[in-house]
Amino acid sequence: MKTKEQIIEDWLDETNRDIPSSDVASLCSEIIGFLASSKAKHFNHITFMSLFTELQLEHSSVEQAKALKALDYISSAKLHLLDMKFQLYETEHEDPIELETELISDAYKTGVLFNPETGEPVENFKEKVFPYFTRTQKLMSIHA
Amino acid sequence: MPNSISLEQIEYLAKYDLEVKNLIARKVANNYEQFVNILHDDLDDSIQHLTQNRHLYQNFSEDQISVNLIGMLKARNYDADHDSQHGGHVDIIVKHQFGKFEWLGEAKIWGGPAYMADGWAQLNKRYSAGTINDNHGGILLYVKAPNAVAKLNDWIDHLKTIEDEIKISSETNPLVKNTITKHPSSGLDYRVRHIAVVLNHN
Repeated sequence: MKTKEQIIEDWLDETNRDIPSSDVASLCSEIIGFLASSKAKHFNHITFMSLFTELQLEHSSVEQAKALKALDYISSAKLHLLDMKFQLYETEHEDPIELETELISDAYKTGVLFNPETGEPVENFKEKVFPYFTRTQKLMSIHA
Repeated sequence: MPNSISLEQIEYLAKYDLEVKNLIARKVANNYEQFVNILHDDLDDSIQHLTQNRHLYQNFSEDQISVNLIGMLKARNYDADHDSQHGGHVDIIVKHQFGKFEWLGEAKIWGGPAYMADGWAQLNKRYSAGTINDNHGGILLYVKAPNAVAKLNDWIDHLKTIEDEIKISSETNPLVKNTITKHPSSGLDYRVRHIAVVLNHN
């Protein structure tokens, strides 16, 4: 039975093997270290900006692109410590609406996103849909 | 409003890093056709990078060039590999969505149509199964010689002599041709994209 530290070490090794860019691999390691820490134990709704704040990353486009690639890997089939999900903020005053990945997939195919509650097409949907991340069982298991 | 960045802002980031282009579409692709269309776009971007840096690849072998291409696909988080144990030693295998979708590619440094035909036979008869989530593949012609488009056309002309039922179509890019043949294993349509990769450097 592996210890928590050994499991995290395995994840970091896997990351370094899978990611060609040392910059992105390094950021991945930083994010993984944070997600595995006790500080992130109840960190359930993870957004780009909340992660930037926690890790004190620079808010530049270059750093955002790097973070996006790192989170893409961490939420991919390979490491799968996070799941990427989507929310629709159609107006500033309403609560966000959860969107199934399939709706996003269809929207990318057809160019039209339908609001799941009203059935109406969402104008300029890419401005109003925001991805976020949740922890997978694999990640949560090391906090058990 | 959310403490995050929108899909539009994510697309904007592709200006700073081409590997971010198609990131969301790749992530949410939920059918094989969608996966293949996005993969083709990502392959084209990666191949363009190879061509732009062709001076580096003059002494590279087929395998070495393919490994570079696979590296670019891995950077886009494809589960891409080289020479894996997939019915043999396929040059390029790309899987996606937990292995649900699969695309295979055979690559050869141009050495005439008969040499390319070996790659075609390996792809068509040995490595692929031609089933519904595995009915697209690729033939990559790494052309270090001049006049890559002529080499592609020579190859397609040769392919017409060895495949009885073949449909051929072009794309806007004259360095790409598409074929549809009947896969020998499944009997289903098997779609292959043939791409001439310009690596000629004086």
